[in-house]
Amino acid sequence: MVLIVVLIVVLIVVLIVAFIAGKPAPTSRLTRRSEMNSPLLATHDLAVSIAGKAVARDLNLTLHPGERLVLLGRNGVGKTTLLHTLAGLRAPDSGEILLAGQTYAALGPRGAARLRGLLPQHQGDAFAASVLETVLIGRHPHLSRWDWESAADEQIAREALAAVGLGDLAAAGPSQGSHGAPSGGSERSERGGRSLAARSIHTLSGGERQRVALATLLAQQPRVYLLDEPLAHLDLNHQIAVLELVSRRVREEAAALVMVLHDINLAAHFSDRALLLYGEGEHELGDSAAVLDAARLSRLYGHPLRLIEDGERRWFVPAVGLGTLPPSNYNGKV
Amino acid sequence: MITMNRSRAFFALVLLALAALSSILLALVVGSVTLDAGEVWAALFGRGEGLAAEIVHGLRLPRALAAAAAGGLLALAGALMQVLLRNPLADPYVLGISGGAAVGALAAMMLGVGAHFGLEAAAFTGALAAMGLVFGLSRGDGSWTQTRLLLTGVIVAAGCGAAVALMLSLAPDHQLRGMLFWLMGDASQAGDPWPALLTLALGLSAALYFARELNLLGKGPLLAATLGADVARLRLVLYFLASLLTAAAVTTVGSVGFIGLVVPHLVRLALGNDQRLLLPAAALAGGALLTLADTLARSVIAPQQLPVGVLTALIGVPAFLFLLARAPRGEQA
Repeated sequence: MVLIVVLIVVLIVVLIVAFIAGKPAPTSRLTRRSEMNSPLLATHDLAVSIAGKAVARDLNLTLHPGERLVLLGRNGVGKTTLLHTLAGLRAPDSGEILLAGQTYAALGPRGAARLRGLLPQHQGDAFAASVLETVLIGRHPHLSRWDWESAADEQIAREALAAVGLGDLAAAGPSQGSHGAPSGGSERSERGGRSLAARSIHTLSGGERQRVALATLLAQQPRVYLLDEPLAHLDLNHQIAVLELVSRRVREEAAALVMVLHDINLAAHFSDRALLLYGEGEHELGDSAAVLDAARLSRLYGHPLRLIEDGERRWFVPAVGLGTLPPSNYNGKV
Repeated sequence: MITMNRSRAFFALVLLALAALSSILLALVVGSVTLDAGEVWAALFGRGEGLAAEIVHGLRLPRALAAAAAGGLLALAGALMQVLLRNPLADPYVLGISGGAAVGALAAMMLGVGAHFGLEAAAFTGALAAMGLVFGLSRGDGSWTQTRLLLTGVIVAAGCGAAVALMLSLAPDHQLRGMLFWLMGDASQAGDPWPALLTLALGLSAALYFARELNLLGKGPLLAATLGADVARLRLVLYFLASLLTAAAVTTVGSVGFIGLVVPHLVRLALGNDQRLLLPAAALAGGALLTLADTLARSVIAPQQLPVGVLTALIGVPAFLFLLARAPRGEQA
């Protein structure tokens, strides 16, 4: 009996600690006007490493509204690590990251969540949930603790689903179809009458799940979009549609975009600037048109690339065929 | 899949609260001395007089409330453990809390400690010791991963199981029955129900405070952190909350099985997976189910009593299998 009373006291203490610790850090409300000219994302002398291996050293990056940055590098060079560091989810070795002029410490997790959003590489669904519920998760930083999602939040989520081509007619809201769904029409016929928003995420294909994750990010309405391999699992038409969608968002909302891509040609076309990670902390940052050339990319990937111009665009094509494979790949084991 | 809004959630909770209340009233009516509803009403709200009032206040009400509180605690703890371990098969006992409590309780019985306070104290101390052991070992080098927590918990639980088996084999015959009843879960020895009820109310408030963040955690720690949840703190709170709730439940009625695993599942299949609804609904449904089971346990072959843990399994397993078979493929758990 006495012990249970002790337990109750412990519970009360846990509650009090939770309430105190749970108070969101005071965040200054930033208006779009005041920050229009300052960078949305900036790093000063940033050093990032993982497991004793340097990812980037002395990285000075500024990303202004409307700019799109692409991160390129070989497997395991630390692209995701750098992206997570920029997202404030991982502490850098040294240096500073400013999000809309403020450090992550000053913003607090909730303040940061209203300014930047991350599309993770993997989607972990431990439990079943409907597609709409999953997208509504993105509204979390905009709701206070005891709030439930309002009709307005649901509208935002449905618009985000429509934007990634997963809008459904069955539960059509007033603005369905007007949001330029890249492939809304084909999706409807693919899936018949069953409302997609009400479907369980466990019944989705990999590509559909990836687009639901993107819709969750859109519903979050951040100012800085951080995308880790946004094209994973996507068909060619959806790859282009997704890149056009995020590019349009960045332009229309004066947001900023950092993304990890593997397709050099899509990266060249859908980015304004590029950050090449060579490994051992060495990096190169510049305008995509200038920094993406055959010599640099050949060195970046350790594989010869050829540049082909068709008069309109430039295309990088990997050299393939017997004898072109340098022995460094896979340690020369053939 | 059902998408919940606040009013539908409220409606579902009102229904479940009514179910819990009716199960408690049923527990007051049924027994070796059958009381009609009027007598129970008079005993509860009128002036206490006569045999009816004595039976209701002295015997049936405390036992029904203790069963309801323990059921609620177990179901809530199970739901929280499932989120903490991101595994729908987790239950409140998976991390060894009940094992620790069982070692404490059985050791006390062997040493001849009587029922009530001494036994409860021993069970509670055992539960806290197991909780501290698992926490300390899985934190070891400061890391805090689900796999490590789960493995440590499972191993500690296995160790407790061995200690329990050892004590059962060494115990004198006249103590064996009491020990087995404790291990299977038994509400007949439950004392004052109010501490457990208060623990449930506080635990539920604490859990609801974090409910939307728990929804985030179900989508993965990385996404949860991105959307503004403090994942490390959330896991710590979850672990201690679920463990303390389990300790309180086990101390009250012994290690009743299946409630903590099956009830959150039933609620999830019926109402979806929004923690803001799932947690209170699981607490109410768990309370209702354990009260009902305990009423059956003491009346089905009266005057003999069954351990309630056996009945929770007998009721819970077919109900669970039925719902599982009915749920559309791909929308389970």
